[in-house]
Amino acid sequence: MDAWLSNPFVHGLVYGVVVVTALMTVTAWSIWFERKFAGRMQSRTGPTLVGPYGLLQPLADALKLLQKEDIVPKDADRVLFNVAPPLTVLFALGAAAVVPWGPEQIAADLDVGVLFILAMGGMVVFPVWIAGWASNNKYALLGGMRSVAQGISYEIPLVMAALVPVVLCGSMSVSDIVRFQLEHGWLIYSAPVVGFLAFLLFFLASLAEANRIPFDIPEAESELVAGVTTEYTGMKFGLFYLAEYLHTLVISAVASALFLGGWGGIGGLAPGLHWMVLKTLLLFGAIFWIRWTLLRFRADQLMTLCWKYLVPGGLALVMAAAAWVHWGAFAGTTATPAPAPAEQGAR
Amino acid sequence: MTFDVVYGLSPLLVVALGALLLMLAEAFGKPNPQGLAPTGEVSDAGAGRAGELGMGAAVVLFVGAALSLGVWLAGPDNLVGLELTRPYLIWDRFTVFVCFTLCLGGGLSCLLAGGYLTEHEIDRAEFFPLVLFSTVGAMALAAAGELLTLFVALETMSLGVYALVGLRRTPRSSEAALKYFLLGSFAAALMLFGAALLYGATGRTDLAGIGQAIAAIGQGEGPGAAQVLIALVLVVVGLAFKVSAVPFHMWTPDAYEGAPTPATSYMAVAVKTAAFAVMVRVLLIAFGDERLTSWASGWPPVLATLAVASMTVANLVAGRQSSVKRMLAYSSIAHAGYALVAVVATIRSPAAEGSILFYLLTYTVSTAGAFGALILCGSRGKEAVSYEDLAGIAKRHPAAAMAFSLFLLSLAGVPPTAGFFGKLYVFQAAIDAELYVLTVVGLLNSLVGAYYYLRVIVFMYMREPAPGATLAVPMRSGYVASALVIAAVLVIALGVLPNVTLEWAAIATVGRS
Amino acid sequence: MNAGNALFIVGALLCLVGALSTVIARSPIRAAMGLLITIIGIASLFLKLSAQFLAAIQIIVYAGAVVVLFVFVIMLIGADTSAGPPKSGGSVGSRIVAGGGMAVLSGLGLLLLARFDGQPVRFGPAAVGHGDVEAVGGLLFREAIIPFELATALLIVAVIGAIAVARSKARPRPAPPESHESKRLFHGPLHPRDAQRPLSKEPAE
Repeated sequence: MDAWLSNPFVHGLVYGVVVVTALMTVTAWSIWFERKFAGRMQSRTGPTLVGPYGLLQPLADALKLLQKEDIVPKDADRVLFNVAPPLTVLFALGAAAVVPWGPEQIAADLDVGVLFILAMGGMVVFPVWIAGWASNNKYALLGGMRSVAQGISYEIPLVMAALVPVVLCGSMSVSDIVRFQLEHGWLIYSAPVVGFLAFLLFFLASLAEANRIPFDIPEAESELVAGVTTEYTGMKFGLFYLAEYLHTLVISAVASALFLGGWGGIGGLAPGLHWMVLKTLLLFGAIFWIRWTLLRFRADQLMTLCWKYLVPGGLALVMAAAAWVHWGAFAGTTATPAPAPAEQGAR
Repeated sequence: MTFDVVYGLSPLLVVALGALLLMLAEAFGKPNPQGLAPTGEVSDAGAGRAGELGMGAAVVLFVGAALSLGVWLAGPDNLVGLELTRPYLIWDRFTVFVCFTLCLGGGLSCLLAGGYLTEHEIDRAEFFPLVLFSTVGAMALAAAGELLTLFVALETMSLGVYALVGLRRTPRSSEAALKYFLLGSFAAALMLFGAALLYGATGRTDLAGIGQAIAAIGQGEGPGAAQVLIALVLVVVGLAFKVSAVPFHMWTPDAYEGAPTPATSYMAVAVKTAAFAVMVRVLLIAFGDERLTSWASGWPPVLATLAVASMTVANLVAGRQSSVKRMLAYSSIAHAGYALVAVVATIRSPAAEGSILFYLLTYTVSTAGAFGALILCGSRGKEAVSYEDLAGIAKRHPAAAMAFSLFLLSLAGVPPTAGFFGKLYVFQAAIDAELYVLTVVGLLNSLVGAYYYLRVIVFMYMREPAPGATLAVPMRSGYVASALVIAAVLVIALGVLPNVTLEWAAIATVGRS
Repeated sequence: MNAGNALFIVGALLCLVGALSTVIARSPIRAAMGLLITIIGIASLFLKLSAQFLAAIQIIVYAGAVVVLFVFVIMLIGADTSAGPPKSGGSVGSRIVAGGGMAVLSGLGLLLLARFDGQPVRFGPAAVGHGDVEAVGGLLFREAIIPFELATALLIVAVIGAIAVARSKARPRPAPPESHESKRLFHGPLHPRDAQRPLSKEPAE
């Protein structure tokens, strides 16, 4: 059994299926959670009718979406229009492949894992934009355009922020970064200011890339009807909706792995997996909290924030991290030798 | 060690650093109300400071030239640390000589721009960082001893110049920039393709290693001969485009005419100089194999054809132009032809490399001066472009006319100006290399060339402006005037006392394989 | 056929299909999508060559930045999805000459290749782990630091050039502030309490 599982393809497949199923389930109920949460924040009750405490609401929503008529606008680019929704889900889920949920629970332990996450993040704008273009609707197009502008702008601080753990830990593999943190403490406190600021920067830039409030101008409903999803109906719309939550969830997982010590727990109270899930869900909840607390940025404010503050800040952080490593702040780790090439080649 | 590297590369480093400082000065400087256009428009911080920024850029470049001189005197071979930069940058006497020429040409162009941009209300202080970075690229290009460095440097130089051409934002300027950019990218792509083939055939990217591998291929040790030949063709085409040799010159007249005149001057001097430097190095080191340098099976006949075509076509067409700026553009093509003669001569004459360097130096000062004089002869709304604009200017403004005549005579190669000795040594090298036909063609072409240079002088001194025509009014600018004085002094000095410079040029050789 | 070959075939197919659709597609958007597919194909070919770092960078830079910029430009220009490429200005003759020229040149190249040995050049095997982050990083920052640093000059010059060419012409000077007839935003009847208060910090004129 073990030998069979250690085959990378089988391993990847098994964990892929498990992770995707888990993520999908969590996402579905996170929508219920968010509605409840928002309701409480606004002195409402949220969904109550379907099931106890409205717990079956997500199923009802999905059923409703499946029953809706599937409409493709007359002058839409049919191929692109239909390709976009599944692609959003694909790219939103993609980064989950390299997120370690525990010491062994990782679908694909790439040694360029961080880069892979960034690559997937960079690809997310495509389906959104394709949808905006193919709909042949001015609101959708405007939404798509904003999404592209936002995506390429915030990709830069995101890369900078993700570089900080890479520089500090000297590896691009996410599980190596987590192991480093197990040994030296979570990055948000073990590299005091740098780690914490990098975490904030990563979180902000990820929110922007996931188009979450306060960065959700691509689908600002008060300006653009529903942004890129204006023309989508039924389950295609549902996929966009799903992808948004999935992306947020995956981001939370990535941020917990890169900065919050991944599966490392406090005092060894529970297996690693629990800690990782707990951290992810806490971050995920924080995002809802932000969403129902803050207002939306204006498009130009968004760009100002990114180019004038986050990008220079990110550059400074990377340099600070390099300095931190160079002057040996992590005692005994600065000269970590690279793994011998021969061992790597043997794989 | 470190000191050697820093000191040796100081011309390059100073110019790069100066460019960064100028960018900051431009971004954070306060607008200068006196220098502002009177039309009540303001573009941004640093507006109206073209003059000062131009002065700054020129100072940076002249410091670069002075440092090149210093490095020359210290002797790049004595700076042992410079070995570290090999094979990416080969910092020998050849490179240092070219760096001096490049800094000089760039500095003169910046001075010209200081006057020109203010006068013509082209409120674009980006001009100077572009020129400086482009010069950095040009210097690295001249030093490049490896294909990757070569390509990056080439693009650094070219991108800056593409932007310079389009700076004026008139339809003609934009069209010129677009043409230049498209064709330039195409040529760069051809060269890159050639470089890839070279790597495929030899497995090396450094020029010396490629040279050795090609020599081995020539002796029948291993495949790759066909790739080498195709690569040679592609690389030569790419370089011929950069030096604007016929038939790869189509972009030149449009780009030169559409660009702001100081940018034209920069393109004519710096881009061409750097391209010739890298051409000599690539041909002699990477393609310096006996078979490839032989008249029967190598690049000499190709380059000779290019040389003859450039000289002949350019000189014939230049005589038919009605715009002086366009005429100078064709003249620069013709000069590329003369320099190509010297490149061909390198196969047999050891003095040919020196003659190219000396020629490029004389060409730089003469051309920068000629464009400067053209700038001086016109002012806002009354720019001198055609022969008619220059008619009778000698009576109204003798100094401007005199300066222009001096540079034109130098371009025509009349003794005792710098241009005469430049041509003399090129043809001497050609005769040394037994290239009699090329020499004769070159001499005949010099005669043809004299016609259109002298025609400008005839217009300036012996014609009267047509009644009712708008008169070109020379501008008053200390920057342009000082650039002209520097160029004129150099033209005369190189013409009267060429010995030291020539000796120096003669020992500045690329170490051939 | 093992997994590696499958990866190669898939990657190569992606490249070819993408490149063809880039060239053939009538709508610029579809062409951009074709380019995207090509880039993904190339990235998978890099993977096959065990250059993971290059593969990831290929996706981040080319797909995540370059194609996105293409797309952005297409959108700004507002290319019509239904419009085909504009009619070429050149005559049929010039096209035939150009095509013929290309064909002759390619033929010459082939002839040259055939006349000489025509064997591919053989390289030694690549070092194990040549595509890792460590290997690429060492190559970039130790070995080839000079071209790498030169590339920074290239990027700066490209940015300045783009700004210089694309920046709008000089803006008109800001107009002097108009004197506002009414300093109140709303013109309704004033509450007596507010009427006592000056709204602006400017001295009343």
